[in-house]
Amino acid sequence: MSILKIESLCKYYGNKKNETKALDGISLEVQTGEFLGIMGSSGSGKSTLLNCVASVIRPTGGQILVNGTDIRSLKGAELSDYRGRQIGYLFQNFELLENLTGRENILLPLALHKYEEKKGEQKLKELAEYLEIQDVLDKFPTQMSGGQKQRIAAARALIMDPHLILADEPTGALDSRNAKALMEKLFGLNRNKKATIMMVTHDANAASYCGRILFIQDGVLFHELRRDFAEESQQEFYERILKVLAQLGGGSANVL
Amino acid sequence: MFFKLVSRNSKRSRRENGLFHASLLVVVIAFYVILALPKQDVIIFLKEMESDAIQKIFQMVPILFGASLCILFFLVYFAGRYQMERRKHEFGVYRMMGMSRSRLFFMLMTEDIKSSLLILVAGIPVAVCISELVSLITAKVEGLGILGHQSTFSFAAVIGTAVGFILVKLFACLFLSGAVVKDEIGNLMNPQAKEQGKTRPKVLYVLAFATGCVLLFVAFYDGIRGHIWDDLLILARTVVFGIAGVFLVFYGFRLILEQLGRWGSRHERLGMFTFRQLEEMFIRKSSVPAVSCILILAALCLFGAGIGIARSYTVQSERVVDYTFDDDNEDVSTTIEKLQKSGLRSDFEKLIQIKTGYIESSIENLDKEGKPSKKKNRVVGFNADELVDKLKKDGKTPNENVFAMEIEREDTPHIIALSGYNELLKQAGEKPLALKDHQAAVYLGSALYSDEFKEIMSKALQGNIYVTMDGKTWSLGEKVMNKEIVADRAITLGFALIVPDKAYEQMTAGKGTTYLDGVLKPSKTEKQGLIRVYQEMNQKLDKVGISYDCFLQSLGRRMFYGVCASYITIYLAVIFLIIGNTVISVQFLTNQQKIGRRYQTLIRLGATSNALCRSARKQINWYFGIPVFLGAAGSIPAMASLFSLFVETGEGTQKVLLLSASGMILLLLIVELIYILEVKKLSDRYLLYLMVPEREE
Repeated sequence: MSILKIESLCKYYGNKKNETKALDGISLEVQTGEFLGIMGSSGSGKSTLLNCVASVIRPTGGQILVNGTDIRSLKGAELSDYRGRQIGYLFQNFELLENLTGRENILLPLALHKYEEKKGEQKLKELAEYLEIQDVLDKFPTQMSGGQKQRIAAARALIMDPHLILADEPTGALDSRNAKALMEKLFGLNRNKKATIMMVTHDANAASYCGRILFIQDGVLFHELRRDFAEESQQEFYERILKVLAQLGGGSANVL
Repeated sequence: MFFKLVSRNSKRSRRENGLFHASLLVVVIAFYVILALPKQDVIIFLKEMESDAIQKIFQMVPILFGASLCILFFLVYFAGRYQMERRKHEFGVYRMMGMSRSRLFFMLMTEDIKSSLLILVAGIPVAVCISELVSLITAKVEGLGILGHQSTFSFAAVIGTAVGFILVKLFACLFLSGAVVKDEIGNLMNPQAKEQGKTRPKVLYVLAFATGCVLLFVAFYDGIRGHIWDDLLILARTVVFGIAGVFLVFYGFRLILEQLGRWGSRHERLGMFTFRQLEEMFIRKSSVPAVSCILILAALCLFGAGIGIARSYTVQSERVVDYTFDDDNEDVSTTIEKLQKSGLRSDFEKLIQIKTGYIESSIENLDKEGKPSKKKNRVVGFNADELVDKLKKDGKTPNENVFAMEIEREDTPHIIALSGYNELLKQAGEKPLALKDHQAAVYLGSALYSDEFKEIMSKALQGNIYVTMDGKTWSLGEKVMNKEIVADRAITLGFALIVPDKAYEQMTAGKGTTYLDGVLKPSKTEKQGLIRVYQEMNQKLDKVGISYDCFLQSLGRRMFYGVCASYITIYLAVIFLIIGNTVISVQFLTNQQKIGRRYQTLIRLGATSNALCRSARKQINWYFGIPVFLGAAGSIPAMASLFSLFVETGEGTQKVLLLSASGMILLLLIVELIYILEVKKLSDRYLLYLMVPEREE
């Protein structure tokens, strides 16, 4: 069953004479429990795509249906509710509120959406254990490492049990060890809890945890890779990704 | 290109910091009004009458101006620092693009000069109009009339305002730009988030808060008791304890905030966020709200002092006689003759002769140095031991005791002849005084002794009280007399005794002084107004060569203190109030923009614009409310002590204190409301702007 359906999505910047087509008619579907990766060079439109789904950017045309609802029709409280309950957003720069402790940061969406406090506490306990952040819950972000910050941010994105997790370069600000640890946690969530994740990344290593990867160039989709979990190891999938990326450097004509 | 950039930056700065620039505009207006003071109608009028005192005020103006410039520097520097902090990234980009340090410095200075000049260009014309209006209104209120109005425009004031303002702005900008220019590009591009979690042991906050409360309590207690002016040490202790107390209370305020945060977080969507924001602002920069609190307190105290001074000097003195002619070289009959000859006699309804002098035997009892002589068989000149004992016995308050001591020191009191005084009473529409043989009435001059002392004396005179005068025993009447016997209140008697004319002649041995008091015809004063009639009559009397004292001098002195007190204190109060409020407003708004990213994150997490605005409004309420509340609370004991300095205590004083306090609190509320609403409006606008989706990558 598809959780997200995007049809002919366009986002244009500037006036007609000097128009930049960040997204130019993209259509795709994300199935429930899928781990989708979006890759592409800088300026290809991948972050614009993610931000359109997150309702941070208003598209110029097309449709974004989340659980059958076109998010372009949402306004005010409905839009806030969508951002808080339906999606969880993981930022490249964590975007933790540095004057709130880890616990307060994680519980922030609950406060915003009047979630039951007791349920929230239980969920926080589970997430903290899974993401191994129990020790830093009462620390402020300035007292945490990058990896800890991103795991706190992940817990915040997951606390409301969102239908769709959007991750924008989640490993972009992490070293390789912390990046690997985070990806394993996200992968575990996807495999064990059937969490649906849509991740934008540059990092082939991070992308190798995905089940499917879409490559974008100049605002259009031009390639797709699927991993056959039964047949293909993560290393093999990684090598395939690298191959596409190498060909991507030479333009779409080189892609098989 | 460079100047285009400067112009754009300057314009943006004005748009983003409208409140700060508006406050600077008010400061410029206040500067001009105080510097143009010598041109005000009332001051020009007073200059003729109280030239020495006015000269002293003129000497004070530069000091006041200098002090206000220092306070302005504080405002510009603090507000500028927040703005620079916010623009750090932009400066980093300029430097990365190859802008030299000197060029960046030049750019910042040019931007600042440009906005300063614009403020001056907008402010000075407004200031000139306001100064003109103030001059006209005060002239009208004080009864000068507006016919002789002169323009208050002062070129010197314009230059003074412009130079002072530009200099302060330049100095502040020099320090601020210097610091920015010296910074490394890396620091400019990525300003490091300050350590948030660095908290000191809780016991330190408890200690700071408790010590602050104790210090404030001591300062409040001293203030309310009203004795801080008796001893310089107590005064210094109160001020130091008060200031230190405010700083310590703000430093330890985290404890209260923690409780509030816990309570608030349960009830509000963004309760925890709101609390953490407040905590950050109060804890990290506790000195800013503390300074604002002290400035607001100072502003209220100044309003209080102004009302106190004005009240003590502007108590409407009763006008009985308009002129007193007392030429030492002339007989009273000569003066009357001169008045008749010049035709001025017809302007006066009545001429009253008031006789006053010393008891000669009491003078004889003094030696050459003025001490009681040791001559044997001397006649007792004056002895009021019984009255003094009664006063001392009744005396409970310090004022009563001091009064008793003053009466005790009266070795050679004045005596006043009854007939003349009765004429004064008749003129005032009161019943004449009837005295038997060897009966006297106590006189307390109203200019020196207020109603409070009159009451103390009346109480002491109940029953039969006797004094000895000229070797004989005299009984004292129970009623205390206090009609001023001359026109000018500065030349007056304090304690005196009214005796029948015959006894007066005997006791003074013909050496007393006779004053001729003149009362102008009511038809004349009603038609033209008192001040104008006085001015005309003075000119006529000067022409004829009659020396005189006029009630106008009393009026002038009252007006002088009233006007000066209100001008200076209100000027300083306005400056303090504006600066106190602008500092917190600018700090809040700049900080809000600096942490805009946090609000964006909240939006992404699904916060509604309503929830964000409510949280920000709540922060504003608390951020303004706490310093204002503490400042207002502190002003109560401060005002009580200021009133004790300027106004005698009594039932009336409490009423005035209550009225003044309510008036000031109302004024403070209005000012605060304007600031709070404006800051809320700007905050809402900024948050709604953040809600609009934008391209980020």
